[in-house]
Amino acid sequence: MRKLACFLFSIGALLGSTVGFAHGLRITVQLTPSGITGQSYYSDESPARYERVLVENKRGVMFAQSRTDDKGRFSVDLPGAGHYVIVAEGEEGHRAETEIDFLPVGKTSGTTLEAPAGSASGASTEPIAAMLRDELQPLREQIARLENRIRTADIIGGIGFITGLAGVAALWQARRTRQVS
Amino acid sequence: MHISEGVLSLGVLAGGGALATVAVGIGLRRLPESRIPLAGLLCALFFVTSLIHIPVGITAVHLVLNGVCGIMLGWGAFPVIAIALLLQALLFGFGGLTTLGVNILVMGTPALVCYTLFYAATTARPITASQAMWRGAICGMCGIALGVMLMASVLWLSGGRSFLPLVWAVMLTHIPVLLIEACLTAALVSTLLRTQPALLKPLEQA
Repeated sequence: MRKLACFLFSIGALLGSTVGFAHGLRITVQLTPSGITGQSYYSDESPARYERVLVENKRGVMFAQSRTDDKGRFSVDLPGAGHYVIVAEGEEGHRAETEIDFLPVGKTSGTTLEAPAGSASGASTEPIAAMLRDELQPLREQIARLENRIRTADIIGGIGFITGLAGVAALWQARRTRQVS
Repeated sequence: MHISEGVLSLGVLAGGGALATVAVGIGLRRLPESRIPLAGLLCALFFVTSLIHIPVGITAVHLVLNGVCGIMLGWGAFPVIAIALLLQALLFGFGGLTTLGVNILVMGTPALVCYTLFYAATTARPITASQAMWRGAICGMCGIALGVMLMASVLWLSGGRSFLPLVWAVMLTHIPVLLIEACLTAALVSTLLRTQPALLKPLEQA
């Protein structure tokens, strides 16, 4: 059993040394004057290339669709003010979605999905708001990536949980065997 | 191979959940006491290996190791896979809680088929090293291939996708995984036959 444990964990360690984390689909979205722009990527942080992006309402009615480029980026013009659900669809049943409130230029509140950026009402402030959006976009994407990143603590915690569960099962079985005997 | 939330129809989710519950129940009853530590070990391995991705073209695929789980645990692979998938959904956001049942079936059913394949016609004579290696390789490949077919089936049942192009597209991206799993499973069962032959016996004899 000890040899088997060593063997299995050797395989894990060997493969784990090249770890890139697969495979949940993620999406980040920011507002632009005419719609949204964003990025879709897998949990190993590789871009979700050429995947479908849908803009729907809460009831699933589709307003617009687009495809990500080779860097996983997309931009979609929205038809008007409203609450939208942005869905990224990957292959093999992968899917990620997020929700935004959109107000067109002149009415824009400058809010984004990750963090409200305060208000900037009126068309005269729009160039400043646009500049701020451009400046803050990489930072927001980085924050979203950090939030979604798989942490080593989660992996170790999961393995610990499994070990504990196996221990409890073994204990329960041993007690049952003792009672029977 | 994790199907996300919001992809499958309600009927498929409910059916998958019910079948998975039954399968996990059977698995818990049939898992021999002597293999509980092994089940924990394989659960941890399954939990971790799904994090390892292999870039294929514009996408990436990951190892599953359901064939290995099936060979060693039979029906017991279902609870092992269920716990690993639950933790992956909660900790990493892979798959989802509503699709947990379907994902358990997609990865667990091939494991059960692998168990049947591996021990087919082995009651009369003990399995030889070369037999174990070849059977292991076939089971490693079957685990992935059947999983892909089941995944394509549930996506097709939920509508919106044509079955054969989907199967071929997914199968094509999984060819590297298929080969790696075949080699890994073959190596593992060959090693086990030399070092721990007791673990390569059908569950009734465990």
